[in-house]
Amino acid sequence: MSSKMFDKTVDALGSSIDFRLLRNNVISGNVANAETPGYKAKKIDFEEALSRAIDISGLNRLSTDHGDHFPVGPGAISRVRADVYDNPDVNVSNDGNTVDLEREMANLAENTILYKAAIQLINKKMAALKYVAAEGGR
Amino acid sequence: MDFSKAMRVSSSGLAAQRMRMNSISSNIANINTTRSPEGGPYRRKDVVFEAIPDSKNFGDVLTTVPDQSIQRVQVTDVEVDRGAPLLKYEPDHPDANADGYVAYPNINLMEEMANMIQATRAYEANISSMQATKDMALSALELGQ
Amino acid sequence: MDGLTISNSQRLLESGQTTSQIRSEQMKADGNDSKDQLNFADTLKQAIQEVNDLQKVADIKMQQLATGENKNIPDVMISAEKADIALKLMVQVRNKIIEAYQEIMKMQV
Repeated sequence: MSSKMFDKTVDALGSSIDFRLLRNNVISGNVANAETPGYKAKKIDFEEALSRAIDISGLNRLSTDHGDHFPVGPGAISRVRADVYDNPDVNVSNDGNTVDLEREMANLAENTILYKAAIQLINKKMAALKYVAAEGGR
Repeated sequence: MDFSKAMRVSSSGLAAQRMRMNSISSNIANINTTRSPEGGPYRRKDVVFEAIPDSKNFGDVLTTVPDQSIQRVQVTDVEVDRGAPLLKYEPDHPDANADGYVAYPNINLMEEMANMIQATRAYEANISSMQATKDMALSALELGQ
Repeated sequence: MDGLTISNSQRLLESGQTTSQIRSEQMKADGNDSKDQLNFADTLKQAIQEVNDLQKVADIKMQQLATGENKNIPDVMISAEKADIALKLMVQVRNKIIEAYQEIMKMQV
């Protein structure tokens, strides 16, 4: 019953919070190593995988026989894994470092804002549920 | 989820930039120093940064790949400049050699100033990064409020 | 004087009726609708449907925010708030209905 009460929106928001925290860690690593020679800037992707899991997790008919296939079915959202890799789209400076400090700062700001927005939306949804549970009894 | 990892990484960045500032200040202060403990004029010092994986203990090595790719920065070496010193003709100077030349450190003030600005900027970027992490952690406390 | 608009002219051509004939037919049809709308159960169903629709729209926008597709935060917040208010209103209406029902039940016949 609880899986119907807390719908996949709350799951999706919760997952996005986890991933955005991971992104924050990656950006911190890039910023700390902004002057390290030979350091390649890292990037993390989760948007597509999460979007696929949200769209597909309603379809109970799909099944996979290998763990590497896209996560499907109920609970797909919690099985999404993020992808961390070297950012290929960068300018290399003469000591081999590829960190673009301004872009990292911009990403950091956007990430923080979307993280806080997700938290607020989860709060809103929970408050609505609590309201219905409390007021309905009168 | 782990906020402390991001904090550790950012603080390593701050420490590295601070050490760089130390060496830059030392270079600027000693720009005209003709005597040093190892003999000869002061030699320019520079820090060497290296990215190392951030793990507190062996257990961390077994964590998922995303966590392992996050590296913090460490100052592994202080490089001493081995280049030739600047020679100036001052026969009356106590450190003048037989030809009347005094060996001064080969330090370019403009270069050191530029490095200082860069180090400051990187330091501030790390501070912003740490603030953002702290911000996220504090707003997570509001979940359910 | 009835104007000849694009929609009118199409119907005139197809049915061969004058505009005033078409208008009186329309009024009769509307009259039937308004009789239906006085039906309480239908009004309630409509209201619940609206609340559900608002919730669905807000849900979709929130999912898009989670995946980063929709970065328009004011839009998402407003949709979420609209859905919230609609829900709260409906809960209060439900309470009032139950109250009214209980009042009626208390009446001595």
